[in-house]
Amino acid sequence: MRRADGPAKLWPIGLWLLAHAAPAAAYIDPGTGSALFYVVSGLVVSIYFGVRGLYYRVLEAIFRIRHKDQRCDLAIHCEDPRYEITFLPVLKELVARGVEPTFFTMYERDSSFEPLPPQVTHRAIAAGMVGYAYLNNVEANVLITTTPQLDVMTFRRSPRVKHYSIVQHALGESRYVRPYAYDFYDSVLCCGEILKENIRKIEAIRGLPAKQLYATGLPHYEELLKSRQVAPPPDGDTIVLVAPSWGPFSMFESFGVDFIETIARQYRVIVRPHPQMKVSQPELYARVLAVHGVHVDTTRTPVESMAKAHVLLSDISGIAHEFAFIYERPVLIIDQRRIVGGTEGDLLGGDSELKDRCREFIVPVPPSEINNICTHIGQALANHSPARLAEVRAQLVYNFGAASRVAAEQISEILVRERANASPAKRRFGYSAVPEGLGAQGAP
Amino acid sequence: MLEVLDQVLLQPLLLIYGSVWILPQPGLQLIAFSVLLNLALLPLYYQMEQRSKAARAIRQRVASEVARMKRHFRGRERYFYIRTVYRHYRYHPISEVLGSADLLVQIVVFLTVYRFLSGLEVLVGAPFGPIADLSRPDGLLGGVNVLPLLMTAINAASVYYYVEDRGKRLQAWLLAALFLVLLYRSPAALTLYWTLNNLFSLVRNVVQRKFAANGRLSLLPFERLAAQR
Repeated sequence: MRRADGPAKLWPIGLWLLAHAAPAAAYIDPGTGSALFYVVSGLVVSIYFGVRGLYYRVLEAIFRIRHKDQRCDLAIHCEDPRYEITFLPVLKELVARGVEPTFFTMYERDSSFEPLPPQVTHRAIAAGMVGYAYLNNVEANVLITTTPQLDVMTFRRSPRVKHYSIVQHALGESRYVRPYAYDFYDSVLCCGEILKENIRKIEAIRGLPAKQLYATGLPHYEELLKSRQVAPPPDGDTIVLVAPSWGPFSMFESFGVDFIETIARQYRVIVRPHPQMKVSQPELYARVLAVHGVHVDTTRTPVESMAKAHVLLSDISGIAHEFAFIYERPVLIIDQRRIVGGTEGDLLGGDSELKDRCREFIVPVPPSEINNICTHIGQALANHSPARLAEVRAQLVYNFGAASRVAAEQISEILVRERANASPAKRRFGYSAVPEGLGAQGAP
Repeated sequence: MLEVLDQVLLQPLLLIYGSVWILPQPGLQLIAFSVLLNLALLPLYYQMEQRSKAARAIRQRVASEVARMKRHFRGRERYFYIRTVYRHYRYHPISEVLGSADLLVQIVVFLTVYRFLSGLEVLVGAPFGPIADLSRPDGLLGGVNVLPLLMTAINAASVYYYVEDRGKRLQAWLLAALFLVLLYRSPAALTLYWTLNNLFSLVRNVVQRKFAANGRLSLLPFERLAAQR
């Protein structure tokens, strides 16, 4: 370990003594013998670990090709098309401030995508490991991404990038993310207060230096607000949107599809099966499509259905927050306790603060109450207060409706500062020292 | 160069042994030599134990985090998370092994003492109490060697007293049994020396424990290493 320097210099003496020991040196005292025992076991473990690591290092080395087009001022990395809704408003705001970003996408952007502002340089790179091998050698003052776990898996810090920052694509609280999600970033553009507090808790638990945490918000909410403004307000019969997740914890997997027909006897129903169901659960998907008396929405985005619905029934938080905060309408969420071990929540302990703070309008319903779901829907609609929702939203989400502008301002400030730095800051455990000002909170 | 090293390491031992030369029997000289050598090494062992304590705390945290990752993740993901745990604690199995001051010091001390005692002609044919010849196995109980058994008994008792974790205790006892086999036919002088060493360490540990209520400061080198891992 750390004390290797001093004693390591004495190794020649030890080797010399070993070389000069008589054959009877097989007589060995218990202390030395047990230490040697651990040397052997330590070596075996280390060799295994080294060989395993070599495999990944060789793979990365094979794809490590440096190009001139990797050099840029501000790099923005988009891993998947679904995150464009986060980046596009920020790109436009940056361009309006005279910044000319380079937009690295891990997919091709064809004519179906919204055109980028002309000041934005687009680079399509490969998906997966090849793309990350490219990205890991980018040269930039600042790199912005939505991808967590920098320097943990295959997405590594480039020695030629001065500052890494992550922006949020959904309302989260650093609880259900995988290990070390934000640890190696220089800054986090936080969506809300809970995330900020939880990151500080994780830093304290792991004994990490404080990183820059910005009060930013969720840029994609502005795009959703635009959709809301152009959509007609819901009227007539009460419409229930049923939009669950897919996989083993989904409502359809747990309760089948009969409960939809139960709801349809009392309300108009739009069912929106998760697109992944078609691939991963085709039989269940077909059963959902075959349900009578409901409208099944399989369009590309849920925006139209969300605009029409008075209430949402789901089992996943992402769409629940969007529906509640954008449309200011109530949500019922089937509260299936998912034991997801290994996440950062293991360290944080306790339960979701976000769930607790939103329970007035994102109402958790126990799975055992699925047969009484219509009663719960009626209660949620009757008790709903848009004013109270807006109040809680203001507490939980930074800069609602203005996050793109704020994010662009913060990124521009980081960029100006990093341009002035000659080289990437020396970091301990991947963190830079906490600067003052810029609206960022350094120490807790 | 090698001769210089030889002299540098052996001279202190010669000095210590020279100071006990006045004692009448080689056996008594050996006992006094063991006590004096251990007293001389006391500050060094104390430093080693302090470092071990800090290293042990880190190792326990690493082990806990690695166990958590192994419990929840598989394959590639598990590998990268464990790598990050090591990085976080600036830990690696190989660096721990190669950088172990405990191991290095013990090897140097052991080999130096061994080299010194094995070249000590005064022990050849020298009786000590019931032991007929210190340069041969003791064979005190009808041919059964008592000193290796005594040394093992002290080890086992110390392990029982100091190591609380059942798994580590069993591991330490197995190691003690292994060394009993390896050392059983050693010359009586060497087993006497090691037995005295272990006894000295045990007394030192008892005293230290009495004066440091919070610390599990010192174990025999053998138990210390077993307890750490």
